[in-house]
Amino acid sequence: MFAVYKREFRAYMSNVYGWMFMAVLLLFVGFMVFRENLSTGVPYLEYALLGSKYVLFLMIPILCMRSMAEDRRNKTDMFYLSLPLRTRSVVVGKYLALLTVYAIPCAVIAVYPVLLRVFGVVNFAGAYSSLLSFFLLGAALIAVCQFLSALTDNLVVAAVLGVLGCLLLFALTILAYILPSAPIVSYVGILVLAILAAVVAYLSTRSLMVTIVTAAVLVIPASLIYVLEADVFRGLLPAFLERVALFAQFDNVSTYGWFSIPSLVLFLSYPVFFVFLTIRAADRKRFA
Amino acid sequence: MIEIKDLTKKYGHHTAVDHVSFKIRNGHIYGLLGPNGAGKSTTMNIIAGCLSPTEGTVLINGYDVCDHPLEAKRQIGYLPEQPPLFMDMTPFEYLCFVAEAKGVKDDVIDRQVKEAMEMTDILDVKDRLIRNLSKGYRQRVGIAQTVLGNPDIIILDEPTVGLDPKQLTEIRALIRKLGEKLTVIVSSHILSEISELCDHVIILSGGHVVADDDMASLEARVSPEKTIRMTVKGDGTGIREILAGINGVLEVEEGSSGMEGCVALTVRTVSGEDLRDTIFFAMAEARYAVISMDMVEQSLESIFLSLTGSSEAARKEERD
Repeated sequence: MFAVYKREFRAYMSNVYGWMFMAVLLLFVGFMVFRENLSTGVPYLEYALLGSKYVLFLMIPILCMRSMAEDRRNKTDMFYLSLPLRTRSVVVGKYLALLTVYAIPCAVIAVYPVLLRVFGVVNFAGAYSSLLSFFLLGAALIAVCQFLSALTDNLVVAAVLGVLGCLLLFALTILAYILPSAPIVSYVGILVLAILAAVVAYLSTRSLMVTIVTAAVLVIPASLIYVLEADVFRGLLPAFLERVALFAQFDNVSTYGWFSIPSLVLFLSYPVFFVFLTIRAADRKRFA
Repeated sequence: MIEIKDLTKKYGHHTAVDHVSFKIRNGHIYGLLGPNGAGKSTTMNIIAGCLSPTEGTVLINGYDVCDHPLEAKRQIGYLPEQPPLFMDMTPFEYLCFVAEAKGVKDDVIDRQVKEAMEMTDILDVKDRLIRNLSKGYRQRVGIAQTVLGNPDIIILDEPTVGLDPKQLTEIRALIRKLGEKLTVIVSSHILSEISELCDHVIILSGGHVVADDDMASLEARVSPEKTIRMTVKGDGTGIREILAGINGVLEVEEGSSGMEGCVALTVRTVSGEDLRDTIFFAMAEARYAVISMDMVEQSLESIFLSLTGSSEAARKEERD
């Protein structure tokens, strides 16, 4: 794993992607710090980070697009399979390399609260909680974009899929606030989620059986409960979306300045789940 | 040693490899031959651990490639048809990365990489980016990575494809050099290359093994008789009479030699015996001068066509 990590990290540092990502991220956060803090004399980094999340929609997909897709394009994915390495070591090595590239500008941003002391008393706990959630938000988006990169051998398609994936995750937050609480809405929402889960399962395994089982696990119990006691579904989907919406959790941490255990679990669940899916997608070729 | 038993690979309804069994013994250069779609690359990919078989087992030095993939993969070095190179690295960096990924200990990486570069003659380009290297050099870098980690078996899938004649000769010499120390499996479409490099040939056709033998045995399988072509000074009738009296001669055909007072003869003899000595002394005793005499070797092309053609015909008959 360490060999793959070193190779990937060196690759990002020796071409334009890594440096461009770090430069644009620092530039954008720097601009937000200037707008929210320096120009107004407010010493809260959280405000700048709240506005900075939008740059991740574009920059993380561009950073991640080559992670898996380039290997498929250059046939080096088969080479990795022929080496005495487990697929999970390759995928995790690549993920950690991406995470390191993202961690570097985050480490630079970590200096800002110290600088903001010039303007008054800084709530360090709030600032660093917000920065940690900003880092974890990026870590989750990297895992999502890396998985989407494993579905294609075209870098542009991988980047577009990544942007759409990030927008979809952002849309979950909006949906959580605008969806009505009627039971039918939650039931239909669960059906849509079942279809999405089935599509993801099919894309990562190409197995019809796994696809059907994934959909059935969600659809059958939901339908039974809806028929027996529809009121259980009242307000269920908005509440569920609010819980799983990454951006809502990030907004909460940045607004209120504290980290809850469920937030932390959610932030960590995304990388674990999507790295697992990426491993399955990378291994799929072996079982084609 | 590689032992393949009942190996089958299906892609949906298409069977690419169908119950293939063969053994690769240590210390030989094996050629894997077959027309397009015969299952050569699929078989190689399964041996290398890149593909999982639908059925059957592959044992590499006793390790099952499915049950003990890491141990099995440590026994082999694999070069796919398209060299798996990272264009943004130099050969030295790339080889160090592969050595580390293969689990070579840190204190021996430098030595192993240097030896591999010396063997493949790429020391002079070790610090140039791979994207700037010629196809021949890239192929050498690809071959260099196969020997890292001291594997016993090297698998090369079409290693000379797309090379110019000079590079082709160099890569063939390199494969011969590898074959002196290691077991090498080479797949190629160039039959002359296989016959030049390999001492053992496995021919695949339609996902089946149709031949698995050394060159001499393959020749005998296709044509059980031997043929001698000779030019002799003298009258045809007398020469034919002498030849017909030699034990083992089956048939003699006379033709024109284009030389005054000489006849050209094609002599078919029984298999397993080289009758050239006997023929020579019989001619000398009868005071006929033998101007030239050669054993006609069967070309690999004719063996290949004969075996793959007959296997196709047999399968067609089976289907009908």
